[in-house]
Amino acid sequence: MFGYVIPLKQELKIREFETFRSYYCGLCCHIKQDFGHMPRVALNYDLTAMAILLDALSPTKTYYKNQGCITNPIKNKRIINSNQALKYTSAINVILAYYKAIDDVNDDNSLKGKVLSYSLQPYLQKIDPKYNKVQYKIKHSLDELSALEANLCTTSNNKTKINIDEIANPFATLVGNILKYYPYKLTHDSQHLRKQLYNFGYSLGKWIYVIDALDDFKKDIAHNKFNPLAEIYLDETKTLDENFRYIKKEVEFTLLSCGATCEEILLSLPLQRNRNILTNIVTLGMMAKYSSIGCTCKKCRRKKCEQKI
Amino acid sequence: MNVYYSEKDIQKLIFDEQIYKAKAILDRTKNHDASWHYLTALLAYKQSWFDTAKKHIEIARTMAPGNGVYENFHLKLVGRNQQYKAHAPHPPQNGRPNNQHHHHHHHHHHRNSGGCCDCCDCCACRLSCCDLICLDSMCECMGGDLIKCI
Repeated sequence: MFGYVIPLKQELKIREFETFRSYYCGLCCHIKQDFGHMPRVALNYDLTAMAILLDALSPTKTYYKNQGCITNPIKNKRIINSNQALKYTSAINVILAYYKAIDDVNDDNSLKGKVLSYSLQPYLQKIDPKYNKVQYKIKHSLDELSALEANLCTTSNNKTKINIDEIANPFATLVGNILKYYPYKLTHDSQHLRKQLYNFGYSLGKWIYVIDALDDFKKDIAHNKFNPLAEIYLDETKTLDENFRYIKKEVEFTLLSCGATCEEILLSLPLQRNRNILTNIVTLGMMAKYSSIGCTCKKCRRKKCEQKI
Repeated sequence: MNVYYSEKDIQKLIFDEQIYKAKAILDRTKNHDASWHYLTALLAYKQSWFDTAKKHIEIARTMAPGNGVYENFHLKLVGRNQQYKAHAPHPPQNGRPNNQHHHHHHHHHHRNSGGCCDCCDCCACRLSCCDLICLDSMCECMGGDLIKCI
């Protein structure tokens, strides 16, 4: 889950794209500042989008600064100055990276997982106690997800019993909670706003989970790894490509519905800034990403390798 | 649908966000008629379980064909997706660059993915050429003529 929730660059104003990049760079700097260099390897675009959303609802103004960057120390980049949304999402980034590493260790005893979880462990102690609640919610959702996946692996006769909503539920809940339990004050903060944020996050999380499963489908089958869409839809009598095409069609309804829900909620949120960027991400970026999954044209194959911004 | 609660009662509970109460009643109800499936679909939709909602509304429509409420809900489920899908950036036509749109208000920008010519690429009516041809045919069947030249 490194970068599905991104804008459609061609349809952003240059100024807006620079702003998006400032948040991404800001997130990276924040991780370094609050945690250290190591966790930056887990930097995640999807959380950048969440940071932009939370900051858009923040009552405090956003400040920029010019700073050198580890990828290009000579050139100064415009980045977002320290702010609550970045502080929060950088902590979430580290938490998620840590639990993902643990998951990798448990799944297939991965060396990378061991190294990552061992090196991230001390950073967990640095997490602000204000984030304990959301950290607990994240852990709970991930445990639920593991249990659900493990259960599916053992009862392979029940292919028709589980559906996509049920299997995506833990991760969707996780993202919903990340937004809902943001521990700082928001503009027009209310139970209603938090509920809207939860619903936005829930649909976004479901979208990410399904897109990720779709993107990894062929690879997971090849490596005999768990894939939720394979568990629900795989037809042993068809070829891999036929299965992929069929599954992509089957999940379209869910993906479009999630996108439509995010779009609806976004329209109703009292954003103080960055509406165009967020609208681009939700209406164009997410749709473009879905269209490009599994696309084997030269442009998409090239894009896969250069997912840098 | 249920001895103690009517379809309207449970629908109201769902609209009033009393999700747990509505769910408890539906779980207790043994008679899975069209109404039960419709309400289950409604509840699922409220909780963003879209696939589940679609499955149950289709059963409701099969069990009670022609029911306006069920048809409208189904249309809503499908319609919002079509609207969202219209945002999909599609490849440029006839070698022209893909920037032939003006969007003053970004969130009102809609491209009709079925549109094949600029005249139909309209934000206001969101009709494609195919839609217009169908409408014209239907109009002609009833004695009118929407588009004179076809």
